[in-house]
Amino acid sequence: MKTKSRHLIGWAPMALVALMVLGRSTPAHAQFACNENLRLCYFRAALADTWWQMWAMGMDCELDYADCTRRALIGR
Amino acid sequence: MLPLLLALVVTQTIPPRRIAEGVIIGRAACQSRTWLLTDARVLTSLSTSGDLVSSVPVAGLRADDRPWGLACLGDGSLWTLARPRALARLGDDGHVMERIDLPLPRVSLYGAGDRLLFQSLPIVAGQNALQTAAPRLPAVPRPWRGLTNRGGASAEHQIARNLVVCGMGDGRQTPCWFVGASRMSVADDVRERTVALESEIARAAADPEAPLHDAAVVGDATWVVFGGRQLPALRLAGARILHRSRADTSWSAIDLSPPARLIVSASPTSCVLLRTDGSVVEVRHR
Repeated sequence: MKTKSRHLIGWAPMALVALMVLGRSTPAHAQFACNENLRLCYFRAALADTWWQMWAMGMDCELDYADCTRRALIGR
Repeated sequence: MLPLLLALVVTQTIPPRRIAEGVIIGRAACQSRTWLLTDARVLTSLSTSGDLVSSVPVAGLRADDRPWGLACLGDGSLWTLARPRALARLGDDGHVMERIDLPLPRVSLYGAGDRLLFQSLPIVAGQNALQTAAPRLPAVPRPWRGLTNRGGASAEHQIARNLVVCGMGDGRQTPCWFVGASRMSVADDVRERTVALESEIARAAADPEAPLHDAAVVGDATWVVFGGRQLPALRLAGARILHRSRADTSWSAIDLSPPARLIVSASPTSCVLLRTDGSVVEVRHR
């Protein structure tokens, strides 16, 4: 449990930095929820155990974001 | 040039009805029918005049699939993205007949002749936005002329501004555009031309996030539907339709009320639209 906590604490600064960098983007009117979901998804990805898992989870985040955005703006 | 406001006539041909409920996530036209796929996993087919031919639930998708897009190829086969990394062929009865894994995830799917027209992730600035491939040879894509991916200030900005929408082609050429753009690319395998619509969009006060709602290219004629937000759900719908042939020097235009969900079929002089209340109208160019 202590090891897990230390592990999480170690990743927290990186996750916070990721949030700050991504937070500079301005969300479009219809995509606000999509952008917020993406940021939360990136945060979870940043907590992955390995770089490879983080990259794969990040790609899935972007696929979910594309799906959210196209349903808002392209779905009829 | 001011658009010609009296050259288009709208006639309701089918009264309001419940049809294709939910969000239409794919539209494909071939063999005298227009197919619609909704997020409720219902496959609906309409005649070119908008009459309901069939409406069946899609069976055989996995519970966690998120289907998107619909393509009808020259052999009449219907395809959808079951999920970004899986292609599914649908039978007329809505059953999944075939499932193909994709080497790269796709975020859009359309048909172009006997090949699928699609957009893949990752989106790389400067590269062709669309590619084509035979459905059973997904690892052998060819670039599609016209739209080129643009850079973005962030990952989500790059994705959002490069999502592509395609309208209805005539089997030779297909109109496509970036979702927030005011220009449309009309391309086939060899040639590409740009249709600029900035002034018409400004005049129509179309929705700035997605001003181009739908389009159809039939021979020398082009139909374009501009987007607007419809209460109460504030979903995007087509508030105005324009028409121009190569011989015309300006666009003809008419407002649509209720607004249009999408184009069902088009010819050089007429366009059939499904409206948000389920009615069908024919817009004729005089």
